[in-house]
Amino acid sequence: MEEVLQVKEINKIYQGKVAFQALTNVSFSVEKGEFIGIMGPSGSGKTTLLNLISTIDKPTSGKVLINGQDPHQLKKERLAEFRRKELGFVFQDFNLLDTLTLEENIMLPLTLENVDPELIEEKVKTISKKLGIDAILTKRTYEVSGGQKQRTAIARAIIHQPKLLLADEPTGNLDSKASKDVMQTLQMINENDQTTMLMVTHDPYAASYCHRVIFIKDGKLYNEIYRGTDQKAFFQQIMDVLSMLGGDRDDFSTVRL
Amino acid sequence: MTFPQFAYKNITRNLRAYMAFYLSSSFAVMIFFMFAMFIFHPALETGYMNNIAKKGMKFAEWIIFGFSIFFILYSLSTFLKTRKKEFGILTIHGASPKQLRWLITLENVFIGLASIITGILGGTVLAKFFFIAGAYMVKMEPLQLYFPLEALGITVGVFLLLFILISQFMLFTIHSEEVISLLKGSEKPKKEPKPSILFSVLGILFLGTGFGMSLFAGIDMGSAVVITLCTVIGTYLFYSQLSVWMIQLLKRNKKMYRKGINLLWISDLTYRIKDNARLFFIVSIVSAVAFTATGTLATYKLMFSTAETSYAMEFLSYATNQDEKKQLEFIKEKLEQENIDYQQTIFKAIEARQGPMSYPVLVVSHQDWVKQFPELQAPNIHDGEGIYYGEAKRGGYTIVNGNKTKLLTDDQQMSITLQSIEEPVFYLSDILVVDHNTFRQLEQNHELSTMYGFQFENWKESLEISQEIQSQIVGETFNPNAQYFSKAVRYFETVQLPSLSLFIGLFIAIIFFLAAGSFLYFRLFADLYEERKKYKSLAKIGLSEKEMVKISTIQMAILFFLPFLLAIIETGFALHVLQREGGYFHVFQSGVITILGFLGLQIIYFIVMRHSYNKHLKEYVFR
Repeated sequence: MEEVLQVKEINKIYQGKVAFQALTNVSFSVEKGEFIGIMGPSGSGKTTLLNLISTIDKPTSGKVLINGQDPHQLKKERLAEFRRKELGFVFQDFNLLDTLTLEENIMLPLTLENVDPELIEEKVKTISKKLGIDAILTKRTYEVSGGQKQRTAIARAIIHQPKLLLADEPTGNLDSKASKDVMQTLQMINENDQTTMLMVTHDPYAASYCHRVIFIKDGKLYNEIYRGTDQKAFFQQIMDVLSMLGGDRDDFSTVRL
Repeated sequence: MTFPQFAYKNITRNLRAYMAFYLSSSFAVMIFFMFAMFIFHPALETGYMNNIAKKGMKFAEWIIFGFSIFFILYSLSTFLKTRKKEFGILTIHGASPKQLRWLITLENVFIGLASIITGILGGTVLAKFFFIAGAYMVKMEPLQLYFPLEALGITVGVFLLLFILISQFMLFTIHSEEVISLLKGSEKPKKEPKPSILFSVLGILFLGTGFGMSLFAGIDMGSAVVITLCTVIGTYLFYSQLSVWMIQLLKRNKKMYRKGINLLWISDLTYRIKDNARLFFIVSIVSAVAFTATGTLATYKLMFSTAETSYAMEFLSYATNQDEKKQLEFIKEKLEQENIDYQQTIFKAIEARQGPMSYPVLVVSHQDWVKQFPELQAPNIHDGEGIYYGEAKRGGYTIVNGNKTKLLTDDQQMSITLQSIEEPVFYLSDILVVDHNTFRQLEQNHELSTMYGFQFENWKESLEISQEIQSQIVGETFNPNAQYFSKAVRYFETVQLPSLSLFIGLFIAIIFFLAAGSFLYFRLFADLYEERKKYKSLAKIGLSEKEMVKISTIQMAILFFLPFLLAIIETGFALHVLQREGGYFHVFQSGVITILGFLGLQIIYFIVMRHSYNKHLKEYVFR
């Protein structure tokens, strides 16, 4: 299988009055079409890891390869191009621009690429239909619900068919119904388009949609578990690992299934 | 932690947010103080300035104050807007309205005091600099720095009151809002503005009326006020309404709108149109005032380059004058009193008119003229011939046309062939020298006027006696029987006084121009915080640094140059009115020079601001 993402021996040290090692020798790889979850208690280094992969932050040592290419070696301008061609982002707080309509938010990556407006329109149409937001395209961000915002953000993240979709707590700001919608959307995209996905989450229910969940604790890989066919069983497995990870069960959201 | 401690910590730990407000307040105080220092300057207190100029300056000072109110109100409201969330949190945790009021008042008095101090210090330094630079530019003695007790008192008193009143006013607006909208604060996105057809039409009408009247209407006090009002209202409606239409047009063109970064800056422009409209409006008006002031003064300066005449004093007594002896005695008495060694020239002449404008002229006999002015070497002339000493053109009007002229007296008319037109000899009147026979002929029916010329050294020092003589002979306004001219008075009126007015005008223009610039500055940096957050999330999805710089440059260029453009247009109309009604002739030339000068300054300012703004953005977004 083709490996879309390889994380090799990365370390991240935050310099400060007291240097802090956020990540220690983390290595793993993700194959094409895989849907990976990353979990861990607060402060375990999940977000740091995602920032390194998403090229927002640089590792102190080690390598991140996306499609065999090391984005950290790229010059600034090339890096921006790399981000908008190869990567897609979904954030906890959506990061939609208030100045734009939903439709304009979705097409943003393509307009930045100077794609022909008619082609853009077509793509927006197909993708919004697929995600069930075609009826609210002309609305502004403050006129729609959180779930709708997140699905808009997902549409924006996948409109240019990225090699790797990165999601940072995509359900963190949503209620259970909206969470379910968003996760099913992600799952559908993963299955239909074979989009490789990497998701950082707190939410064991969201994680139960993944093929594989990697746990980190204190900046080190702790464990990883694969999903069988049964989502419910996987959810239970995740809960078990989480309780072994330490901390109280209360640290995590309650059972929703 | 006590409440005052909390207020103190609030300021010291959120310095950046307070900084912008503090700086803009200091700036307003500084400008006011500089101007007050100028008005109460002891050097101006004594000689130089007459009452009208003084009143004008007082008026300008209150305009600056009015502008300061607006300026401080504007910066305070942007400042409090960013802190709405904080007030919401305080309220929800049980801060009473009284406590909030106390907090905000405390802060305002604190910041107010601080900015009054910095403003006064900065104003003193800048005033010194400006006194020197300004004096150099208009070629007069630099004003001395002094201890400005009055200016200090007025500045401190007026601004302290202003800060307290403004904070109470702002409190009122905060109290009227619900906690929930406070909590959502600045996060709550603004609704897209909808243009109103009524107001758009009104905007066009107002601007059209203002511009049209300045082109065609008769100008008096009333119509000047109407033109100004129409232009001001029209400008506001132009920005608040017409700009919305324009942007919607831009948006409708999808090929253009959805191309690259256009999507980002056009939508941002729509989003902020309300804020921008206000800013554009202020900047346009303020810049137009600055341009017009400078343009007018540049014109004024150009006008006073008249030919030199040779007599330090001239006294022209008409035939009807009963007091000639007494007046002449007075002049001589004064000259002797000052120990002035003078040479006197006297000749008789006939009052007449000549030329296409029937311009007054004194007719002198050739015989007499050659005797009095052998150094002019007037050539011999024959019957019906003449030599003209004066300017052929005055202020765009032709006084002497060609070499033939029609001479008119009360009851006679004759044609004179001009042998030559020479430089003027007297300021009071042009001279037409005719041959002795012709003079005789005229003399029979006319009484003679007498022209006295006094020549002496160091005439610049005779200003005081000249003014006394002038009031003795001419009186307050005009004496139909006699005229008096003094080079010293003329020099004072055309060189010293205009220099002073030019200096004042320059001062006002620069202050207003600085004010416009500072508006832009505070606007940019008030938004910086939100902007960089936006760019950061855009950078995550692949906005490159180059594209970010391009967007911010476009947005800044619009902020800097759109109001500038409208200000230029408005200045053009204002200067046109001056040309039409004021009889100023170099308006176009000086207007263009002025505007080019300001454009140069604006471009430099733009380049500097763009650099520093983009640096701030880059540092945050692409570390």
